[in-house]
Amino acid sequence: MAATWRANTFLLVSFPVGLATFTFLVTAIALGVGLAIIWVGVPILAGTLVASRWLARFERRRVGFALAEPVPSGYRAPQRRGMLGWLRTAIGDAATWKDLVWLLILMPLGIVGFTISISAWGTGLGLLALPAWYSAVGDPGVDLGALRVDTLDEAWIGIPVGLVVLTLAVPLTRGAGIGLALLGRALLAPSERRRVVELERTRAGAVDSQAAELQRIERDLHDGAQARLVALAMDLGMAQEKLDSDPVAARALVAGAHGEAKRALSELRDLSRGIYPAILTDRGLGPALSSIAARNPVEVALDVKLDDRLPAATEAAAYFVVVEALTNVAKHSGADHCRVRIVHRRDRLQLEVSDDGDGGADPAGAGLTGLRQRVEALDGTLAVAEAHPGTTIRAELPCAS
Amino acid sequence: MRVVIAEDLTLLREGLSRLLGDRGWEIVAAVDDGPKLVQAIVEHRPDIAVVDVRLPPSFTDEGIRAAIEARERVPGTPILILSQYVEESYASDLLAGAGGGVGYLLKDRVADVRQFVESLERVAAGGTAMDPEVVAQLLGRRDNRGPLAELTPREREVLALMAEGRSNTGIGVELGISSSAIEKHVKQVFIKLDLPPSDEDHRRVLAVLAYLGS
Repeated sequence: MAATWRANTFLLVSFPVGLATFTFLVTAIALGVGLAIIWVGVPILAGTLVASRWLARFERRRVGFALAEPVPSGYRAPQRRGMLGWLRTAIGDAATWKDLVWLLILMPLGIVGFTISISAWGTGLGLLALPAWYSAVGDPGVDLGALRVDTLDEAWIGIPVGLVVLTLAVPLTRGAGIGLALLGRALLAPSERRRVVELERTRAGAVDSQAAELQRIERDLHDGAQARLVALAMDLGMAQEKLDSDPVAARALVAGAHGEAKRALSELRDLSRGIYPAILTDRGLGPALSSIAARNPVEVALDVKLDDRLPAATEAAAYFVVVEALTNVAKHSGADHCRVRIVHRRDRLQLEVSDDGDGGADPAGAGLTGLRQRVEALDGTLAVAEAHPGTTIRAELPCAS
Repeated sequence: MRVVIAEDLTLLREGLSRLLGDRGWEIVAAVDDGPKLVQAIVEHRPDIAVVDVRLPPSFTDEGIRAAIEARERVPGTPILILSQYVEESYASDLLAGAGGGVGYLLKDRVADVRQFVESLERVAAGGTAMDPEVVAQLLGRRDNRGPLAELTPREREVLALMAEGRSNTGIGVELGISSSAIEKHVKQVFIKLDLPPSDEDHRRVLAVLAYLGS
């Protein structure tokens, strides 16, 4: 019953909504195209595109209501910051055009749906009320077009017929409503195929970045702590030989070995912190970032608003995005200050690292590519923007908590 | 000195026992997890406990939590925490409890035996031993335009060593200058940061750390 109720509400509302979106879009597009020659049209068209996103979002909720399950959205993430970057991506995105198709065909289909719903229920209820109707009208009888009801006996037949019509109206209107909603979902939600392609791409990226990370760790171990331990063992071996014959030299060798051991310890500590910092597991993202910020050579203003612990994968990805971004700031930007902002909104974690340096970050560089792969593996997005002055890195991560 | 050691890795537990045993200290208990540490402190009432941060069963900051609990059960027990990493937020937890006799050092510091034993003795006597890395983190966090910017480089060094818990004599030895010069610097630091002067080492550390951590 609830499904029928939702389907009919959807059908009835589709008509006025379709009329409104159709009128708005046709007017806005005509105006924009017409004025395009004198440039005023271009911002109008851009505004229409933005408005279509809002309308599509509203429609997704309406379709989701009819189907009793949420309709996901899937747009391409802009590669560049700013309105122009957004527009460029939006225009190239098939999802934008599918949204527009839905918003335009909603009016004709809405009229059909509205008619089906109104006439099915109207006919059924009207027939049910036929005896009362006949009694009220009296002598000339009720004119039903093809049929004419002249006697009360004839009017009583209206009740069973009306019941049959109403019984049929339930599957008919429900089918029409769900059919229309399914068409809406096909146009408004990302296609399965696209999702599969996206998943294949991000999985390959995650595997690549993991392999690169393992290689880096192997190299660091080989060149760092391992080499130091070899030197230390050699020093100790030589000291052992000289212990009796030349105690002074032996003492110097032991002191050297002691130094190498301490340096190896400190290198191993840095390395394991880089793999996964203990404080992130123990205390979560806020304290871990505050510890990183305190170590950073460039002054960092931290603005982290988190009430609860997040899923470990989200915390780790967010942490490494910030660490890599801060390392880049310190190494390349020449900035004096930078700022880290993290906000948790419902099921998204939004993260922003900005500096006041010279800019010039290369989004295709190894570091940023690795980060993007790490973020995309979690279905997140990462964007790099030149802010004049400085660079801003924005990432958004899903966190179901 | 009677010592309790809590460390889950056998190699390090025995190493520490040997190192302290060599000095003639008595290892009254050497345990390998948090609950056993609390129990050992309650039972033996040691002069100091040397505790690894990461202990079973949770393998997170079990050591700190066990230490805090033990100090609630036997107030005033001096405790020195050793950790693979030092983090300022752990240090704040440790200092939040009342009373002196706390230390928080990187595990690596054990390699410098003489300094390590000095830190232990300081903590056992009710003093403080903060790892230079913690102090560096605290100093790194501060806005460099505040009163800290008014300190001379020498005064900054003195401030950092005070935050580690060193006495005037200790600071003098470290920097190679006379105690009276140190006293002058300390006075200047307190005036510039607007802190209440204090002769007692532990209170002084708390004031400095509170200032840096605020």
